[in-house]
Amino acid sequence: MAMSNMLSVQGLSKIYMGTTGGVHEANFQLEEGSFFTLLGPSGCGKTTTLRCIAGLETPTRGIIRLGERDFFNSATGANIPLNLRNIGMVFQSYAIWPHLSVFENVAFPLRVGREKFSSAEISRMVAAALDSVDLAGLEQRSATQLSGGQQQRVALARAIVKKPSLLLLDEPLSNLDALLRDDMRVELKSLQGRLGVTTVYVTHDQAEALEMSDQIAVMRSGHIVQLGAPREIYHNPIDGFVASFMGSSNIFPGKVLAAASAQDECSVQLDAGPQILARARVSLQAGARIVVSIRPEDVNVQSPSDASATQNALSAHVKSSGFLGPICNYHLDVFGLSLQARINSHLSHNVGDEVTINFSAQKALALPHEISA
Amino acid sequence: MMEPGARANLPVYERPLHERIKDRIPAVLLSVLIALIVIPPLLVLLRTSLRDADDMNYTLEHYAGLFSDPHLYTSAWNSIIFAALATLLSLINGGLVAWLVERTNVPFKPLAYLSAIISLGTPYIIYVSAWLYILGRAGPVNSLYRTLIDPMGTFFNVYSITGMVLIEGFLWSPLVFLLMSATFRRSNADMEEAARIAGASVTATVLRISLRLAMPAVLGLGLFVFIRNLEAFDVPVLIGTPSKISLLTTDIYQSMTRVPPQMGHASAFSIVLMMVVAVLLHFYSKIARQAERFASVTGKGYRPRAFDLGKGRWMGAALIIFNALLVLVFPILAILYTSLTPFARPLNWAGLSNLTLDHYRNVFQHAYYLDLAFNTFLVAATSASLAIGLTALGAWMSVRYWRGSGLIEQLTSVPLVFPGIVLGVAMIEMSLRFPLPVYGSLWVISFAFVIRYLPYGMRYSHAGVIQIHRDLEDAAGIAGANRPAILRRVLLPLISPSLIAGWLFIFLIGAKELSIAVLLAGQNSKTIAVAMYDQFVNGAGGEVAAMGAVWTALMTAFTSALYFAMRKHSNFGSGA
Repeated sequence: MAMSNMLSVQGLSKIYMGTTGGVHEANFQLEEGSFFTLLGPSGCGKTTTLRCIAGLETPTRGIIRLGERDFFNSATGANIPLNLRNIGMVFQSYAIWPHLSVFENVAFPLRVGREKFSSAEISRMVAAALDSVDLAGLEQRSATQLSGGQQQRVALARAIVKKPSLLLLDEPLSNLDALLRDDMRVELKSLQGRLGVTTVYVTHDQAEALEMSDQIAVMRSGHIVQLGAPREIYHNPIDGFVASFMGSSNIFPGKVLAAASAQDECSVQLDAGPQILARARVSLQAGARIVVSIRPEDVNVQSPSDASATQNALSAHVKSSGFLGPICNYHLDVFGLSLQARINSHLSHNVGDEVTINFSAQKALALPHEISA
Repeated sequence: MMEPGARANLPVYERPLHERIKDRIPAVLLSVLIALIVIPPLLVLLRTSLRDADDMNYTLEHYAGLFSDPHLYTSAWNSIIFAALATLLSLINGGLVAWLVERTNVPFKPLAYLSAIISLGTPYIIYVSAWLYILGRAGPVNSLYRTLIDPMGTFFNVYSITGMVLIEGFLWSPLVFLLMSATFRRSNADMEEAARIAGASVTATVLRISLRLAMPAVLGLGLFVFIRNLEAFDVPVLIGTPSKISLLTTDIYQSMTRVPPQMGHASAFSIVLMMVVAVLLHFYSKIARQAERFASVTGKGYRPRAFDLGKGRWMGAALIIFNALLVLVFPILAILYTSLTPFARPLNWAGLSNLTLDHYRNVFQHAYYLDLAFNTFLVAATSASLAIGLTALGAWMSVRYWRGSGLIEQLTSVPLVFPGIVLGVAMIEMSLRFPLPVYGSLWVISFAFVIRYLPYGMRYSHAGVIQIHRDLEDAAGIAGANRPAILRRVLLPLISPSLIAGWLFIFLIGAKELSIAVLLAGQNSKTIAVAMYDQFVNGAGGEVAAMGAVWTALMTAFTSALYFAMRKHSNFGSGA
């Protein structure tokens, strides 16, 4: 592994006395230049982890190392103050100083650090940073006259102006409106690629995480539940929690009927009644309590007369349908279970229709409900 | 997924001892400094109150003497009646005007603000002398009564507790107005509108909803004004003393100005008064916290819809004009008239046709008046700067939970228990014991003012820091700034509107403060308030009136600046 600017976090914990928040155990290593996302619901410890890396919080224990340099090490007592870590960070609130112009906001890191820059260098570096976020020409604007999207760009320019060794982004897109957010995702990712700076990104939005990241760590209650590439996490969630957080809305409890080894098909008795075939995520004992996760887009819906499939075919009726343009979103009643299906909108079913659904056993995942981390 | 090796049991991080000490140094140093400023007056008073006349032995004789004297109970009763009624009057008057201005379509709203703002910077003595004239035996109220009803009678004797209550009540109305209008402005109009839609009349809405919602705030403000009226010195000494009505504060003043001064008695008296104030403050802080919970804050920039008073709006307008006459027009006319007549005479045609600018010429030519202005400016500016400087640092440390900052807020609020006159007594005793000849100098007055105004400074500084989003400072730290750089480049510029407003407020009340300065001022360290008091006691002086007129104009300029700084401050800092 290259040691140049690798970020390594080991055994990190930050416990707040008398609360359940914070981080209990976080371990990860990031290659230089990678885009890493901490993903999870609020209160899962993702922001605390980020703030520990930044130096805004002092961890209870653990090691945070960038390249050869220990930012923090509870074994040796090393703890570099935040202002000497050479980090760029974009806050959720942007934290643009309202009393300074755009230029002065971006120039700030160059003026206050230990390293001194001449005013010509400052002008050049600020111009380059503003240029890279498409804000050239707004230098003299007061920061309070900017739109939310522009403030966000100023915050980004300020974070990268000094060529930081690490870029930290704390839900930077959550305050933007939906259209702007989509554009910024693409821009942010390409800017990060151009700069080649190792980036830690915090979000609760799984679509953002999937689109931008090289690696994703899904967190729950202060632990990293699963760490992997976006495809891996999407297609092979480790448990029901991750599956549902990654957008699978059909999670049904059940029981394994016969032992199966990992990736094999196994037959499962759903608590609601039907027996189905699913793919075991890990090897499973007979009688083990599990959940089955079926993504709505993997469910076929057909009229009973057209139905031909034999595997995992169940009869259902349509409770409601929503037209979303290219696709239709159906809520179906299957043995009392509420199942969502998303299918091509050329195929249409009416509310109350009797239908037959089926799904491939490969796409129904038998998972532990929640693994204990 | 996880590397098991990384789970190697790492020890819990403990900050090295020298770092922990270094972390605590700034806040601990500041706490010690503030303690050294606010605690000694307490100790000195306590000690003096327990020492016998020759300062040889400890004794309780001063307390025994105090409580066995029936006079104490008369004064206490007078003080309580005076404070309670004056509070009630200012609450009704100021509160009503505030509600009219903030929540109805009454005309002349700017006039209400103008009156309140000008009154903030005007020395009390100018009001008191103007109102004494208006309500006095020879004044227009009694003249009218004699002309119309009873040629020999007197309708109203201003030298009475009723007169004192009226004047103190009107004195406090402008401040009550300003504070209450802030409350009404923040309260949620949706609740009133909901009541109206549910079918309630304007009156029913006001009684059942508006008043109920404002009640905790009104109670808190009422208790605050009551405490300040209990501590009041100006009206008691200017009206009470000549009419032989004794109050607690004037009793303390008299035992200090007797020859020889009865320090032990005054100190015991002060300790007792302080305890009463401390108990009241305790209840006040409870109510204030309650009020905060009750406050229904709306989104910013939201302007509630005004009640339509119909024809009643002209009655409201009459009240606003009446207040403006009381706190703005009459006092200013009276002081202008006195400053323009060559010698004291009643207001009549002969007087009006014989006006002169001589007093103004003298004021601008005599070194004495220049010295007065200089002294006042120096004392007020020094104390405002020190109080704001200390509290800005203190507020920063305590709002951001610096290690060692736990006591800063409590320490800065200690001086709230000192009535001005009590602090004056303590400062006399301290300066007499001080090894350098500071007694009667401007430094002692300035120091006393710093003590007295630290709590006010803290209010402004604290409000300033708390509205700055923490991220703004964190972002500066991440950008590479150390703490001094964060303070200088980010925090101070952002909270400067609050600090300027606080500085101006302290400057203004310091410039007109009488109770401390009157005890501490030496021959060469008089402030304008003290000089005006001397002239008032020795017979009205045209030159002092001219000086007062000039000073009021100057202070009005300052107050307008304060007002605009506050308005700006309310929509600043939320930009990020």
